[in-house]
Amino acid sequence: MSAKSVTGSKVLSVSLLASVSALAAPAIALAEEEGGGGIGLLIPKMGEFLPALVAFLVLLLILGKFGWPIIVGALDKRAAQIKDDLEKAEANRIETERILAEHKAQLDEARVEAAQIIADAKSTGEAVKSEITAKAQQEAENMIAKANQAIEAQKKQAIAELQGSVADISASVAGRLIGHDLTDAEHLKLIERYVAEAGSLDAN
Amino acid sequence: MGVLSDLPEHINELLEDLGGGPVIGSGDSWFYISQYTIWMLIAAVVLLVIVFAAKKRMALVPQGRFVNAVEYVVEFIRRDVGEGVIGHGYEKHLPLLLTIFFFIVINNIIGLIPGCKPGTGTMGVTFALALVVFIYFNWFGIKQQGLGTYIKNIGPAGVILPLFLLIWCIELVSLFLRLITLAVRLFANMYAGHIVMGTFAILTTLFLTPLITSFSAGALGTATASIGWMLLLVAMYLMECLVAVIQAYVFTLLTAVYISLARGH
Amino acid sequence: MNVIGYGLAVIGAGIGIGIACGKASEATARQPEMQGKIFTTFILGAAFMEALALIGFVVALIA
Repeated sequence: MSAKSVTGSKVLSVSLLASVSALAAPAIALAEEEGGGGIGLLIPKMGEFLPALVAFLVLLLILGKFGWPIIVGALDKRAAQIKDDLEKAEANRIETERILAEHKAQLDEARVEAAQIIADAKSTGEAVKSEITAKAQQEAENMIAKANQAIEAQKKQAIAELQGSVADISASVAGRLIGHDLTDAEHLKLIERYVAEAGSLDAN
Repeated sequence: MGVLSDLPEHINELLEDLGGGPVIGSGDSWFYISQYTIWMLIAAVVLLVIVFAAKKRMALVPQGRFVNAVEYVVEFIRRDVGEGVIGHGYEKHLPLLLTIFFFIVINNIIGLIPGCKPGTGTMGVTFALALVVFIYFNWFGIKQQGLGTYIKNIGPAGVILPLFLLIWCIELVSLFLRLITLAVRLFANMYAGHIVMGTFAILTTLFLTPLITSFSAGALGTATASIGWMLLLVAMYLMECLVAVIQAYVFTLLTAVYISLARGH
Repeated sequence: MNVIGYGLAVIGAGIGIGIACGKASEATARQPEMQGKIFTTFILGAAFMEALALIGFVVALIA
């Protein structure tokens, strides 16, 4: 077996594995004679058992009192904190959304209101403008009418005055002319002129 | 080419070394300090240091990889083993579960360091752990259900009396077997793992020796085989790293299962 | 003889754990969200099967 294995091939190595276990068997048997192996392996030795028991119980006591509860507690605390934070964040998110919606609604309302106000103002302005225009027009018309009346009245007065004065003047002129020698031709011309004058005045 | 002729002798040496002879006192007296005890105590101190260092650095905002790692393991044991297996009322068992897991895993990992020995590599230590667990879950069951009900509930419910008695006896044996299997499983895994690793290490050296003593073509061939042993050793070592954690987990898980079984329904 | 007996004892446990592992992978593939529970169950089953192998180991050492 060992001679063959010198070739060092892998297959032989594997077969060697089997031979090793076969060789280990007498080894274990040998060890058994010395009291170190065999069933002796499975009998707990007091010298190892007692320290292990005591050490483990002490560890359990110390760690169970001062070690694990604190670590586990810290983990719990962290988990609770994270859960709390997440819940808070969620609540905050909802609150924010609510406020946002509220603000949006308010904004919309304000916008509508503003539009309303502008429309109102526009219509009011329009009304005022038309009113003012109408008033101005009315006033203007009134003024024109009044002016016309005044003009008419003054014209009439003037005509009346003029007619009066014409009569006076003609009377005086006639008086003056009467004192004068009138030729027939002059006389006729004069009368004609007066008649024309009076006629043209009448036409006015 | 008697490379393997020395093997039994070396294996015996290995076994004797793994036997962990007394350091203080003599093997004949009932009390002595063995190497395993010393490594076990070192593991206990390491555990205390780790836990108290983690405790000191615990803060609302997690900080540092070390604390995170400890927290992760604590949380894993708590959620997967505590909450998952025991269910409601698991909180009061947490200290036991956590202590067992951390104690075993630190022992196993210390054992993986070359030159060190796992505290769990001897029946004395594993039996002490198993005994604590055994007494704990039985005491818990008796406290929870009352002595009479607990003893009755070892057997199945709703079967005829002769069958019940038969199954009760079998279940009683299996109940006490739990104590033994708990202890032996952990011990055997550690012990066997170290024997296999030790054997591969011995083989690596044995196959390399001819090359060192006298250089020849044959010796070179033997040395190549040694590389194969080396690779096997590395593979075994990685496997043992896994086993170290898995066995601690299994021990803790079984403790939780036994506790939940003892609680009754 | 002891070692052969233990080897035989391990065959059963090996087959059992192999089947359990295969089924656990299958179950995980079907329902990946149950991975944690399936793993726990698998480890538990493997531990009980291992217990049988350990009984073989103990008997091999005793005999």
